[in-house]
Amino acid sequence: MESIARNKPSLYRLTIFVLRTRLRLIISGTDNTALNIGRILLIIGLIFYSIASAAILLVSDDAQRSLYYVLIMSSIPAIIISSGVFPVLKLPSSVVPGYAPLPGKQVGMLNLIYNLFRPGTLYGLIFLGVTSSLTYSQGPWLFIDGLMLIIATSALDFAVKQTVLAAQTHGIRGLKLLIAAGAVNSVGLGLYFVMYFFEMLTSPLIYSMYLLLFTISCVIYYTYTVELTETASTTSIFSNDSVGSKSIGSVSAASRLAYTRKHSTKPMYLLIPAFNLIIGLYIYFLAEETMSEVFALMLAFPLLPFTYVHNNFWGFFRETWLAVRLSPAGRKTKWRIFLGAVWLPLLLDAVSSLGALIYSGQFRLYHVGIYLLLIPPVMLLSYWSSLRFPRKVNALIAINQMTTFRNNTSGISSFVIVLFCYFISFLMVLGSYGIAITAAVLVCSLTAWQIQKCEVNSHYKLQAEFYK
Amino acid sequence: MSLAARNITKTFGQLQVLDNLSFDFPSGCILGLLGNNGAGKSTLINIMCDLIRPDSGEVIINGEKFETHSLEIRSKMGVLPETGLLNTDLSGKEQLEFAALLYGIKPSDIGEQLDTMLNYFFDDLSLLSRRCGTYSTGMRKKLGLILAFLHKPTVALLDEPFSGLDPASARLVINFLKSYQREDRSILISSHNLSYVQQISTHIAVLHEGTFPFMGTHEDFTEDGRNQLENSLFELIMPNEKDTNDLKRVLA
Repeated sequence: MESIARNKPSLYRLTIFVLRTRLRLIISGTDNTALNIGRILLIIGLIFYSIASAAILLVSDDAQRSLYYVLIMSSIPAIIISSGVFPVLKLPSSVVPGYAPLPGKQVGMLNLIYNLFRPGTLYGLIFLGVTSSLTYSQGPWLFIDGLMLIIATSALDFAVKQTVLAAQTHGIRGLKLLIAAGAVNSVGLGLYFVMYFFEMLTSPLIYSMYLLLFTISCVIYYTYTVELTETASTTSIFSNDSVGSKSIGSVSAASRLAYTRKHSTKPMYLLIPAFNLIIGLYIYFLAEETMSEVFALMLAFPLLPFTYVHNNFWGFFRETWLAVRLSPAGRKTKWRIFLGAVWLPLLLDAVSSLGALIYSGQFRLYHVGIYLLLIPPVMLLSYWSSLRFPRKVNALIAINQMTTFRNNTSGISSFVIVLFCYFISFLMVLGSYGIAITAAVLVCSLTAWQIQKCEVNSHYKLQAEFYK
Repeated sequence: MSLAARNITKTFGQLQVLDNLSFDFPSGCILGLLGNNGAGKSTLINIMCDLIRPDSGEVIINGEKFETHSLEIRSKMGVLPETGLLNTDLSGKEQLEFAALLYGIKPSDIGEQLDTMLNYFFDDLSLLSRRCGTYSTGMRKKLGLILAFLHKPTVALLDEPFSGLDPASARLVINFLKSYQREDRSILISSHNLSYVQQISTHIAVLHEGTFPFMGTHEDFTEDGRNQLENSLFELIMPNEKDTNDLKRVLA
């Protein structure tokens, strides 16, 4: 009897399937009900933000609309890049098995959709969908530009994170790749907003054409990165100086990961807050010029909580905490973690305070000096607290990232922390710095407590997996 | 469908895994692929289903070069990879739906076949609604087998189908494969479990140091059934038993 398979499967049906299952994963992807509730609440918050953004565009006059437009658009990359709070990034990055009867281009397209349709992308689409449908009377440009921004930023974000992960697990030269290609693309994204703001181009069509080129560039970057990391992963596993080179079958996946890790790419985590810092300053400086306080607040709103939660949960805190708990050598460095947890609120407070000072008209030039003086120590502190770990701890950090336990964070606690951050933003802008800083410390403590609680439950299981 | 390879060579770094390997495997047989850890069994299977490209040589399926008729051959091929056979985020039902879509199968074409296979392998079908990440190793393996045979392939490449299975499940798999065997179908199984291979394979291939020191019928390999499979295998890949005196001394 012949095989019942047909030579040409329906690409349309496969695409719908990938999108449908991906959407389900993002909304209710884990067995943790609290986390799923947290995600839904976050989406509701985002819808409110979208409505506020649309209202701003509808009520503003022509002179101000361009500024509001570019500010609203800048929310999209901010939301996507900062949504690592619920990471679903995994290696391999392929949803279609390599032996499936599909042409390479179709496999690549399905994998692209699967990889790019991540939580941040969904948040971006929700934001864009609500905002552009409420402002449809003003033309299609918001939707067109927004869609391209979502594709471009998602590709950029995924490629960067995949490279970091591959570099950590297989020791490829991820940083060189990131600095070269990722930086070029990030500058391209920045240029789009700069040109829009300073009206350097003449029509919406030209802006969109630029964005299209940028999007293509990002997708090429993504494709190149995926290919490079997959090749490098294979080469690394079989390379001569790894334990796995002589007896692959006898080396467990976990120990292979641990022993093939060659260097850390932790400095990447310094770039993320630096990037957020630039966006934060950008928004505040722009807002000072032309916007009313309420509108500016609404636009700057999602940045702070997303940044805060993102860096704490996806950044260094979760993985280092777990690694420290697991390793006897790491336990000696536990106190570094607590010091490391301080640097983020410090940095964020600095950004928010500067903005608040500008709003309230109390800004003086020496504030910038204090601000600049603050950056090197917090950067060094973060480097020291999260990078300089014994080799064994670093190996465990890599394994932690490959496990599913990282998704077990309670959704409710995430949402409460987000609410706290909203509250802090309000206090900052209203000038209640003392209360705000106290609240920031409180949030930091709550985060640490919650993370510890979540990880303690899972680390014994992980430990068993690592040492088996 | 016959399976053949011509002058396959594959190296990883400085490690030569397959060295100018050639073979012909007739249709209608079950080939047991044996060898040490790291001998290259999985590499060979990955090359046979085009997951890895060889440094040189070619794979020929039913007289046609894999490279030139890739899609057509893939659609007739069922694969059970050793690792990463399931997407842990999808449920079992979603995996089955995705596999059907990948092979362009209409649900109406496989309804009865799928139900029968699922009921054969699983006692509790409600588990298929859960994410595959929560499945036991055995359950993943059994679901992987169903996925590999969903489209009734004429060539099946199974990498370690018995690993992680309890004896009862392994017997289910053996009986399933025996039921599947037909004149026009070929099954290649890589396994470390000689007992199971002995029960099921019609042909044996031993992979050692990149080549096949033996490839032929089960009877030829075990000298008309007089020797056990294990003895014949050790004669080929480990003719001299390692001395354990030093080991006993240092472990004393």
